[in-house]
Amino acid sequence: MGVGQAVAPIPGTGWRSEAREDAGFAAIVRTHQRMVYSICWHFFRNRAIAEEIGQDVFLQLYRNLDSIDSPAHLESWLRQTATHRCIDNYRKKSNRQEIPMEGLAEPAALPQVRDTMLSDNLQRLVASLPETQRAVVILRYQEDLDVNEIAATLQMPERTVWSHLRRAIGVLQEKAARRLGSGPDAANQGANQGKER
Amino acid sequence: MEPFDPMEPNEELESSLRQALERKDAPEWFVDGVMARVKSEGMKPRRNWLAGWLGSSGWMRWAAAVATVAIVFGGVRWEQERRQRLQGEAAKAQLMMALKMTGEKLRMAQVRVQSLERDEQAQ
Amino acid sequence: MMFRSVLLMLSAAGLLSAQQIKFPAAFERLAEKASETVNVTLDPQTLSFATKFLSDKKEEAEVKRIAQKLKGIYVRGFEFEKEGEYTDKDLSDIRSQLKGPEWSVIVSTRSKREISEIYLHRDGGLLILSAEPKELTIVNIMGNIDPSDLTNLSGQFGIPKVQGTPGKGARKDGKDEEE
Repeated sequence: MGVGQAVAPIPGTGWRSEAREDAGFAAIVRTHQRMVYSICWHFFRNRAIAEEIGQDVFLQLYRNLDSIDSPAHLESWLRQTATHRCIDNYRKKSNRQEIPMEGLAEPAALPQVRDTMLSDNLQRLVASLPETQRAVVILRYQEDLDVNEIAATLQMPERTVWSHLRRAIGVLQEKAARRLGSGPDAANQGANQGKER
Repeated sequence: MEPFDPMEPNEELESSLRQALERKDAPEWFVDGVMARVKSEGMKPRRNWLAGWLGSSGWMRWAAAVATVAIVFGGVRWEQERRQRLQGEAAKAQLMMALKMTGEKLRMAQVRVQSLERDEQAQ
Repeated sequence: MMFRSVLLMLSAAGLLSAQQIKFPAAFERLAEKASETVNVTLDPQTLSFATKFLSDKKEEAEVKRIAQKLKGIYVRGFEFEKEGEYTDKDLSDIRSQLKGPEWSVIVSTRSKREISEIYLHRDGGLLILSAEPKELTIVNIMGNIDPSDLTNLSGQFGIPKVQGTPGKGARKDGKDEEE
């Protein structure tokens, strides 16, 4: 969880009026922006889209403050809304053709070392999964949710979550092996990948 | 490659995924962007209050009108700048992506040339 | 005077368009079959716009300096689930545009399953053709990019020093060379 400059108002008596104040709501945004932005970024791998959808999520929160009961509810509401918005956005035709472009959003972090290249490639692979599998993987590995929590977030049976997770991991394993090879130098020697196929 | 069994997860892959999907920092301007949009949303409840001012007479009506125009123009300008920034960031991301792909393909070509050279020397 | 300026502008436009290849219409068909596609189209205007968003920090400054000399970047990349989705004709449609004397092959490696070709345009353009059984990538960069530019990029993107200069191609062909 990101640590903000100001502490978000604690839901309880009168917290909503505080949250409606600029400082209070800004503190909520500051506290949860990393989670919301990261869900959107990992979904699209595009900073501009992640920023836009992330902001939409907080605007929706602002309009729906009355429906939030507790800090835990606030966090799960934001996570759920961000995930659903990403899926909905992806399903719109305009974003469907869009490939995850932002491989290199932070060139400073562009890596020569294997771990970072592996992460970069895994991010790309996750962002190329079908949208529901992608959401399941992000909630599982970014948000560290259990299957029952993912099921609640995505409003689907646990069995379906397992099924999506199993399929997604299978695809990721296969594609990662194909792209990166299994040897320790495989990532740095990315050019060799074709020969290993 | 063994198939994924949720009861016996592939620990190496899971650990790599956790690392790859770590949370990222939002852009510095994210909170300001949300708050600017919240403020423009927040104008709605104040509409009655503004209408009251506009309904009154004298300089207050003019002041309210000027303030409204300023807010509208400020909002439009802010939205234009926001859109331009989003388009610019998207174009920059494309540029970086294209240069990275160029780098990857050049590296692959170099590796292949070196590999063929080694084969020739070996013969 | 004005006539001369117009003539200069026309000839500059001509030089740039000569560096830009046309992606075959068949690529749209490939995009439909591909499991992943990359489609980057940065014309001079968009490229110039994008460079304004590159900071002067160490990491981006070098990219900015080089990008400012470029006039366009066009990338088409396709990754397929199975082999054989693209044909030799798709490649020859690209190569046929590179036959003129203004294009030089600086690298050409070819084996049974992989092809890497790098072409430099006399006026500085670059074209990379990379083909693997399940992947096809074409990169076309217009403007003043030369091997030293690529070398300068090496710290940023892992781009290696390209050996060979225009006219001194490092051609390494495998057994199933066609030409």
